[in-house]
Amino acid sequence: MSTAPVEVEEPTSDTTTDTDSPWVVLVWNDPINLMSYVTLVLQKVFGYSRDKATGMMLDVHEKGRAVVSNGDREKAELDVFRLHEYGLWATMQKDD
Amino acid sequence: MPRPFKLQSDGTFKVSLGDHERQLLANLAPQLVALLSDGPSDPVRRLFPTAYPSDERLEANYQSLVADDLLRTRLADLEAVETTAMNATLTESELTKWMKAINGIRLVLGTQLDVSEETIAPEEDDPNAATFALYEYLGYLTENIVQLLTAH
Repeated sequence: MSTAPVEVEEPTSDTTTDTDSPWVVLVWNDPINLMSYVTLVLQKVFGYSRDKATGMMLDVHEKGRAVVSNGDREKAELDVFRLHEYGLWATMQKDD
Repeated sequence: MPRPFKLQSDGTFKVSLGDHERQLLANLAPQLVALLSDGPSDPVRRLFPTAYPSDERLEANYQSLVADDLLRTRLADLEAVETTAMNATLTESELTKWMKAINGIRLVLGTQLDVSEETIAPEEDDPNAATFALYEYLGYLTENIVQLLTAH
């Protein structure tokens, strides 16, 4: 997101094949999406309060990424898809 | 300069853009539609992010499931901008489509410009100066729409 410099970590995750464990959806920092835009998208997609969405956005901005939702693989995939519709850089991985 | 968009008492949004700005948006939207219609390419890759960075099989499955839907939504948002570019007012749904479409164009331009969080405006004689100015202008429009839709 545009403002202070933050190192972007490349997405990493393990590749275990246990399909029952929950998945987490991550949003990664990117230099193009505006901070206010990311907050609004989190509110619209997940129904989060403005405070909660802002907190997650700041985590993305300051730590390079944040977990924004979790669930089984199908739910996580739908969440990722909805974030991709808005152009957010979202990925999913097993919750360790 | 008036705010580009303003909430009215009936819940619609007044658009205060000049003809030149409207024409610009009406021209940009079909340009991205054309790029998207050409199939996957570097300029539009940013609009189809990776869901599973560490699992090629699941990633291929994800892309085969959602790529068409992502494309369809993108095209619908861009077409909404093209058809409503001259409108005096927009509904909330239309304004949301504008926001997504304009942000999509920003993502493509920003990727093309390889912007980082430290990027500053290039000098006037830089070959990217005009593209960067456009990128900044679209950011200004996006910010305005976001503020309105957040308060709404």
